[in-house]
Amino acid sequence: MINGKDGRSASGTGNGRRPGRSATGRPGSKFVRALLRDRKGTAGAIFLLLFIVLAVFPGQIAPYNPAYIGFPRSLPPSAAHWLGTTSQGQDIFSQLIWGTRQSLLIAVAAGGLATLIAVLVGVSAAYLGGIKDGILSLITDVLLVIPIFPLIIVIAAYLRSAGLTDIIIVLGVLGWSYGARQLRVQALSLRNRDFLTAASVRGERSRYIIVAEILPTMTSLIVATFLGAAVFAVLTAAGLQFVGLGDPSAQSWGTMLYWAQNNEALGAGMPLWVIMPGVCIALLGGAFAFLNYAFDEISNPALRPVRRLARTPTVRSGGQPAAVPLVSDGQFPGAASGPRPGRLLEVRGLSVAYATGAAPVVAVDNVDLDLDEGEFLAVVGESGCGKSTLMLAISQLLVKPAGITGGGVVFRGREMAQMSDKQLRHVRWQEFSVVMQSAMNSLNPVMTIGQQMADACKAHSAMSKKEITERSREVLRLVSIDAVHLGSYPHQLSGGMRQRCMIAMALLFTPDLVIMDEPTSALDVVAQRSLMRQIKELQDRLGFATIFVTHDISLVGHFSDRVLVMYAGQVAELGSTSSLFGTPRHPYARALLEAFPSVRGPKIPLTGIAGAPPDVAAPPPGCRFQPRCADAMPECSVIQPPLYDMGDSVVRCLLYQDAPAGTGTLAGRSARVAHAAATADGARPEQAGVAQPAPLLEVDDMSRHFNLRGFWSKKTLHAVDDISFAIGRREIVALVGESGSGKSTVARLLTLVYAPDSGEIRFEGKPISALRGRSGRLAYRGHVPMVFQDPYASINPAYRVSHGIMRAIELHRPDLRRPDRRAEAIRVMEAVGLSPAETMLSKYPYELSGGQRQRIGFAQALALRPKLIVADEPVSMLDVSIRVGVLNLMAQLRAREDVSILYITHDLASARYVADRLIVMYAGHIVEVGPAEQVMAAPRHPYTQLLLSAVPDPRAPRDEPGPADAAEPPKVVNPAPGCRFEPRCPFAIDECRRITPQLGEVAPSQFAACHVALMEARTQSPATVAPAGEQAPGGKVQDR
Amino acid sequence: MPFVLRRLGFFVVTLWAAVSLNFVIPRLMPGNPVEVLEGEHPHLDPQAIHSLTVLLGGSYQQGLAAQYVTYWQHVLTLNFGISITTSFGTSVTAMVAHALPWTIGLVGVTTILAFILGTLIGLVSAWRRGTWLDSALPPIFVITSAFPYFWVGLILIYIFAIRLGVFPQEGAYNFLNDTPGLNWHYLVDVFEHAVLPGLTILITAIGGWILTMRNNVITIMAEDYVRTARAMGLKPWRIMWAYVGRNAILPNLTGFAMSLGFVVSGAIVVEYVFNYPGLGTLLLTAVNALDYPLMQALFLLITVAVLLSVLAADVVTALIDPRTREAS
Repeated sequence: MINGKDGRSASGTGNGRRPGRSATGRPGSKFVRALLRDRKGTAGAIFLLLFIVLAVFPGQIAPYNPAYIGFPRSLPPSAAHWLGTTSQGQDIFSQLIWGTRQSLLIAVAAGGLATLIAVLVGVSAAYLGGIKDGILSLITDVLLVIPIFPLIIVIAAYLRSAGLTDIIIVLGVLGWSYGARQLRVQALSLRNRDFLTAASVRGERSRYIIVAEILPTMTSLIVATFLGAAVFAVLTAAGLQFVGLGDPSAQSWGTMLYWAQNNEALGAGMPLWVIMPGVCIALLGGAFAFLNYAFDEISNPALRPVRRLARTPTVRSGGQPAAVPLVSDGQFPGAASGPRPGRLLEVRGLSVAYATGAAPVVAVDNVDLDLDEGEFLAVVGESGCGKSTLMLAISQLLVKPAGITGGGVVFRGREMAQMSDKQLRHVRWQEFSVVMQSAMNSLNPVMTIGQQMADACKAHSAMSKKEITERSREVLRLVSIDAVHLGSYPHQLSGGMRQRCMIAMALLFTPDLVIMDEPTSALDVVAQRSLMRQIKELQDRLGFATIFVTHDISLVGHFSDRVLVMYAGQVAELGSTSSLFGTPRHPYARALLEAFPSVRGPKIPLTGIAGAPPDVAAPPPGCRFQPRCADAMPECSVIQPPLYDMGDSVVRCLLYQDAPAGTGTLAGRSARVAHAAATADGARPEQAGVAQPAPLLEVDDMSRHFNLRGFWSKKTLHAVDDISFAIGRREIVALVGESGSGKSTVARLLTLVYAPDSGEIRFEGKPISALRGRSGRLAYRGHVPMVFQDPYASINPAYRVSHGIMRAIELHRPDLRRPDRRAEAIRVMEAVGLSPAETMLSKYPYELSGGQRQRIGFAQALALRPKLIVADEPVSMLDVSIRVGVLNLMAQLRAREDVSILYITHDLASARYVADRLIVMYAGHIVEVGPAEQVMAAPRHPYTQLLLSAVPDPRAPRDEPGPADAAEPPKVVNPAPGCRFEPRCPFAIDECRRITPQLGEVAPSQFAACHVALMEARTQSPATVAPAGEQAPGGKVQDR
Repeated sequence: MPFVLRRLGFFVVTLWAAVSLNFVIPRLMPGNPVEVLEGEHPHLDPQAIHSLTVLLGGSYQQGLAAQYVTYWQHVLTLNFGISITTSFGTSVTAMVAHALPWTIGLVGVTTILAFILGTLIGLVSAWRRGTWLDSALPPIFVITSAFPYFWVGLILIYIFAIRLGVFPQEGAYNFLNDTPGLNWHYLVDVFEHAVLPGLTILITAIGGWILTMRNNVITIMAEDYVRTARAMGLKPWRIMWAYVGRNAILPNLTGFAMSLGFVVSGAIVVEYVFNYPGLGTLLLTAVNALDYPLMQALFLLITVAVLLSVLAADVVTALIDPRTREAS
């Protein structure tokens, strides 16, 4: 019979829930090993094997012929008949053994048939989309809801003799709907994954994509579907046979139960006749269910059993003795000597580890820090450095498998680890609060903002309902959010608004300390800058201390009092902001500060930091930064450096072991820069010469709109409207814009993912619309490949690195014979700096870092011998220190491989660093075009000016006032004519609201789409069009 | 609310599909279905033949499309004809109406009870992760949810009715001793008779809900907003209820709606095992007696019941989850 959920995927939410983070890795041996490690999986597998043996060799195991009716009737169990005999005189035990065959056959055959149909329907529905998806989904849902068993009964009544084949077919044809639904959900989530778009951009056929790219990554869910279908088949078949709708002469467990019931076995004292077949059914079903359950746990790491973490006094890796801190207790740089009355937080020797795998993985290693009232401490580091874990540890929010393994946190004189849960809860939110990383998911989706604020208020005070509302409105006002949003649900607010709501909530009780973990990371540049200012302003006004965690050191330069730089779980350097930015001592801190291309001032060639952060599970012996350190000494690879006190900062680096406190012995930045300039090897971004007369790619008045699904009204999203530009040979053009500007749509238009609604794209003079059939488009794709933004999502995790490159070569390089293809793959790997190429080619993506994977993206593009590479935000998801490496790579490729690059980004600084020309987009329009250096020095369009002013420049002496614009770029739906920037523009005139501005020349080879800028250029009064940075806050004097 | 409208639309489509299935299946047999059926029941009188004609949607002389329309007319006026073998001459509607309350009482109540209890136990079990409760429960319930419904019923009968004699073996009440009505003796007897079948359904159905809820809760507990709730210092009960519970139950509700078909299937056979006078027993009796009018009416009714429950589950989901209300 079919029970509630019987062995079907017990997670209920499908596997599409957390893409990327809980990747199943590749199928195959890794999975089987995981399965066997799980007790339930092993138990299930053993039972299944047992039944398989019984099904294959019943004759050898069963003592008698099950159909033989010559034995004495209704015997109790005995030596001759282990389970007794039936009312007809058959041996029960033999019947049981022989019944295995039919049940297993039904399970596998019907289950397999159902799974096959489920895969076909589910995956096709997800991939085809649109109407076809709607129809398939409807059929699935209808079949799911119609009660199957009554339906089968009705069918069986008409069919009369339900033989084995009939049962299998009926069960298979009716039992696929549940699996199809789940598979569709997962396939939908995969559909938007970049590696599928990458495959179609590469020129693969749909068939190939479904079979070779989608299905392998869905293996675990397909297997789970099969297991669930098998259980369904076994139970339903047993039920059918039990009520007499099967073949009564068949040898199966269900039929045994039928006869037992008909002969009143229970009442006649033959319980085993009834009990044993049921037990067998349950065991077989249970075996499938256990395997299914083990599957769920493997694919969803959150479900795995958790282990306890032992608390040891000191947990060190590498076997080194505990480093003796040279900083005495209570004395810290940046603070006066001796414990201060305003001391808020003292963290001593804090270590955190995760109890995963064989040995605990140390995420935070022996961190000391202090915080005084009202202080702004920035914690900076790249991915994997442990900064978020550190924050969770300080706020006592760690959950298994993570745990504090050493040290303590003292808040206002009280040791937090010794507080009871109740005391801790009392302190929370009132004395310190936390703003989580990325508020996207930090608010309860089923409660309104007001309700969540009320929850916090009620938990800590006895405020009346009126007072709660009043207070909630007040904090929302602090962050400039309209109080009407108290009744909004989180999904109704934009990202920036949700973030500000979280900050407002954190201030409900004006705590002494607010910990903020990357509160601005998900925001656009302009919104980010304005939020930072707002936070600083709030801090000045309300007087709370804050620990601000970020990966972007340039962001905090003007706001923080002290900065803590973390690397690989340890404190690398901790000191006052001025000392860190002025004379960074730790080589990592120095390299980090220098990894930011600047928007003003001279263009300096950067080198970034080679390599990647160490694997926290196996850190290098000695200094953790040593493998990447340009100043490493021989002893650095052996000795773990302790913290040295330099007066205004502490630094963990052997370079300072002999230096007296208060001195920095290494060359300052200017010397280092000179050194880098002298040894730059192709790292200097070359200025391209004048662009070739015949452009490589031209875009004329191109538009692309998307229809939004609205039942009553027709809403059209104008992603890209009437844009025109050109790209020449051997040129790097940067396309700059924030979210919603349309830049990603441009990338997809150029790579044939979308077709333009109007306008034309011409490649080498020939229009794209004239491309003939698949071969024409394939040829174009060979000239214009794309590199994607997310290095983790754009490579299929099921295959080795060589797969994508070889496919690209097979599709686009017919000139190469088979033996030469491998050589070509090696060539492109070396060209992008991934060596040794052979080793790299045979690795799986999960073994590589983000920067390495992004280089593979470029390698795949290069293998085509392209003319133009479209790079869609290739560095925005990479760590800062690795970004420069990829930017330099782009410049090298342009020089060595004779290729143009369209570099799409939201980051003006990197655009300036690497591009020859700059195109700025806003809300689907191009607003400014020109040589990169020239536009950056003197932007004419007000939006470009705004963007430029929002980019943080750590080298500037102080924070510039700049505009107070906090608005986010609009979604352009059913737009009216007129300039789209007009609502935010400080210079807008009447004409701006009525007439859409077109691009016009405002300076030699510089074009802007702005009425005001054009007017001024025509009247030739460049004095009023001031370059950014010197602009007075109020803007120009202008008649409105 | 566009969401509810869409679900109503789905309801209508599924109903149409079920009715059409009922129409199509007899026609899958070769030859003239009425004649074939007459052949099987050679002693039918004109009333029975009329009933069969009703069943099949009008005289076979009409075209297929006309028969379809006539059939729909019959369905919408609840004209299902008369029983031809089970209880000859009784109107199908009357027989169904007689059995319906028993099924609603037994199956309806226990299914909802199993869902609620299973969800609560799953919630508590996941909340107290790492304790003995949580390590022991999942494997037990994985096995119990693989038991065939009817087999559990048989075992319970064996233990409690035959060996221990505590509860009655079959039926809904004692025909001989009781007079149906609102008297205490009758109600107690009804309750006694309902214990074993109800327990059967409860035991087998609850396992699935416990497991799914547990897994949902564990997944949700790793979400960011739960961490925010803990950081805010809310009481554990509040977090478990409003932050974890309300979010974790959503996929469970969807799952409930989707698996109702399965639950009903199991309940049918449970009724059969206990000879409980509900729709299930009636259906199986009709099948074995080849009473086509009754059979098809029951199929339709069961489908409608499942559909209504699905609709109800969807409405509850929309009430809890604001995102569903605005889903496009």
